[in-house]
Amino acid sequence: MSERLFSMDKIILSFARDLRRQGVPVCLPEIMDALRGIERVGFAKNRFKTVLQASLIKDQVDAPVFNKLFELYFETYEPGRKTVSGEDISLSKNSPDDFTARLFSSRGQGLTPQLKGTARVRLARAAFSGDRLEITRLARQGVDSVKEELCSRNEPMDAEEGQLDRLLYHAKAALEWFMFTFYLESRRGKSLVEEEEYRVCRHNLRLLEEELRGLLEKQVLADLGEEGLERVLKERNLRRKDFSLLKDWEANAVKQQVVKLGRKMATRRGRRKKPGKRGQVDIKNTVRQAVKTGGIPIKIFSRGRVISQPDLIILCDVSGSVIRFSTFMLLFLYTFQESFRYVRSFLFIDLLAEVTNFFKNSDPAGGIKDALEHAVVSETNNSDFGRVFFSFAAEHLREITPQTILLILGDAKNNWRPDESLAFKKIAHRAKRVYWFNPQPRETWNTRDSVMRVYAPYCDQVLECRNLEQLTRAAGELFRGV
Amino acid sequence: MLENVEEVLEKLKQHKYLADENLATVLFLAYQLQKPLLIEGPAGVGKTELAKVVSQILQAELIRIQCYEGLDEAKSLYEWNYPQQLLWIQSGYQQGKSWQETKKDIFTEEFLLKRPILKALTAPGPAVLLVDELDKSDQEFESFLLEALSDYQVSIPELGTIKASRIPFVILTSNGARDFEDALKRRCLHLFINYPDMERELAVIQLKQPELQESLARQLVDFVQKVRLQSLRKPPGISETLDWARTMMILGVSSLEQDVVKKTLPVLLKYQKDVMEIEKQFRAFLARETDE
Repeated sequence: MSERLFSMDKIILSFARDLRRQGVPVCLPEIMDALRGIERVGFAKNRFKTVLQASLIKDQVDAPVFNKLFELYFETYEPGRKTVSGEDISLSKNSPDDFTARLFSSRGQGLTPQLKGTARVRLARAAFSGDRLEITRLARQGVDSVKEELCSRNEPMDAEEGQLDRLLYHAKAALEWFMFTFYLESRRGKSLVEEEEYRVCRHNLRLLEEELRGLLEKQVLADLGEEGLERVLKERNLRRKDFSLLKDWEANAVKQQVVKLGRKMATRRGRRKKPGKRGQVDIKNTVRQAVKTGGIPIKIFSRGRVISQPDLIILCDVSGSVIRFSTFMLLFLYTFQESFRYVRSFLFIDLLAEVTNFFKNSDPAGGIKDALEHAVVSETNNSDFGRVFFSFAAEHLREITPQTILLILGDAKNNWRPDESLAFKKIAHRAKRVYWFNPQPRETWNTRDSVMRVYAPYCDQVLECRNLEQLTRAAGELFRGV
Repeated sequence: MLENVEEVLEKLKQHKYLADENLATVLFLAYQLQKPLLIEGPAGVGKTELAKVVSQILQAELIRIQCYEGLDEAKSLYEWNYPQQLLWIQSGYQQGKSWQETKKDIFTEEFLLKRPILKALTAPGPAVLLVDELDKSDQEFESFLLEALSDYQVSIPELGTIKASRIPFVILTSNGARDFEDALKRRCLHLFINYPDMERELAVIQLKQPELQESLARQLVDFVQKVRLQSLRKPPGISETLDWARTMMILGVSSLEQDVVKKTLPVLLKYQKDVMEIEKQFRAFLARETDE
């Protein structure tokens, strides 16, 4: 037993190390908890997983990367294994031939000879019947054709972001997946496909997709080894996944974490005030204490130091390329409004529009939606930072005081329009601090139409901010001055 | 007292708390490792209820502390009973006691007002400390809590360090409104409770409201599950579903009809905006059911 536990120790340690590499904060006492927990609960699969999760994962946002890593470590991949929850479902009421005929032929006759044996018919039959073996065969076939394609183009599996999704897309295309789903949807619209049949097909398609993804991940792991692991995990790592690549459900999870982080920042400084050593003289208290010494104020008491609250002015680019990032940032900023004396916000693409009033109620998500709908921010739909800074300097320069923190959110891609470094310099000089959060990778700054270098010298800090991890760090910087 | 996960599951069921294996395992683990348990999840999924049930299972005293912004040491740890100390000093003065003697007397347990955390640490029997809605507190409170929970001791300058005679079972709950310091998260085991799926929610309703007809219960749960898929400000939790079921019982309803739903929707939803949102769509939720 001790032998076995010893090797288990090693595995858990390496598991934790891989988690940490993904930016999940795991520390030694937590690993000890996991080990002590396993001793008591044992190795029954689900409980073992529960023990690891309860002791190592403290944020819901890390659950996907944990699940994937657990699968890679402790669950051997078997084709045809049930991955989607729920029972196997299939229909025997109608025959697959009947189904495919209704789906693909125009006048309800049988399939034309040209159609028979095509990939889309095969896919439709498999989705309809839910035949596990056939689904597995199809998954293999899809992945093989992706491999062939990569080979023929002499393209290696590279470690580019979002690559797995792209490979998945190719595999699906090879199976004529999109052709099938197109017919499925349109025939459903005309009630040629029953609801029950539709549900079954969708369910089985999901199974197939999971299987495709599993096989592709395996392929990436085999081809790239350690780097492949990194790649596979990165797709599930909501801390490090680019905001713009998040799927809808992932975006929701990240949003929740963003709000939590914002509230944490807001409550960092407690409400209690302690009397300070310096500051304004507290006359009331001083006189009261002076009574003891016959009216002579021997000790001067002072009022609590007033915590200076800066103002925050946000200029936020909402053009298509950065909209995901901007929504996250606005949501984040509005969760800690009360930490500032006031917050004013402006949205822009090539026109500047103040939207402060949209955020006056307590529902930031709704406020952002309204603001994006109603604000007039665009003439040409292409960002123009120069024009925006120029008009800001012309109209709002006076509102910037030495208490103002100015935050610019945007990618600095100016669409080859003229820049306005002078206007920006004027604005920046008046403010207490100027921060610029840029959602583009740092390597691409100053390439193509990005003019970051023009404005960067006037900013106190320019930070790359394209995922949750960077946002957390950027927030720390922003709050250092508050 | 709790020997294995099966026993935890069994005992939870005896106390009418339906738990899945995941929850039971984490609970067992927290009990065995004597670690605080941080439960996160949306409002109304039975986090506080779980703490109550645990105290019943362990036959322990439940000591509860409700968090809010500004909650401080005097309300959570301890406070000296100043008026009583003053009285003591005065009566001592009349008896001609010296200051040295008086000083020794006034900082004793007699004048110490124990607040929940200290109370839980010094409880004579087993205790469950429930720190409810920790996300409503501020970071200063988090630090007191951290000190108390890391070594299960509280230091009082006048008395020295008071160590727990027996370690209480600590449950912290959070609706996930804000994030906590890493140091706190590190010391706790973490459990996330989400809204239950159809089958589990139905089982909970049947366990708590056995008189309710099964067909109606099914309709109710099906409706609530659909409501949760909408983007609402406050989606209904299990407790709201239970309230709704109770309302149906009182009204003597046998099947979910449009007008009944319309009238009772505020039981399920707490914001007028949400009620309006669902009113727009609820016919569709019901219509699909009758088709089947």
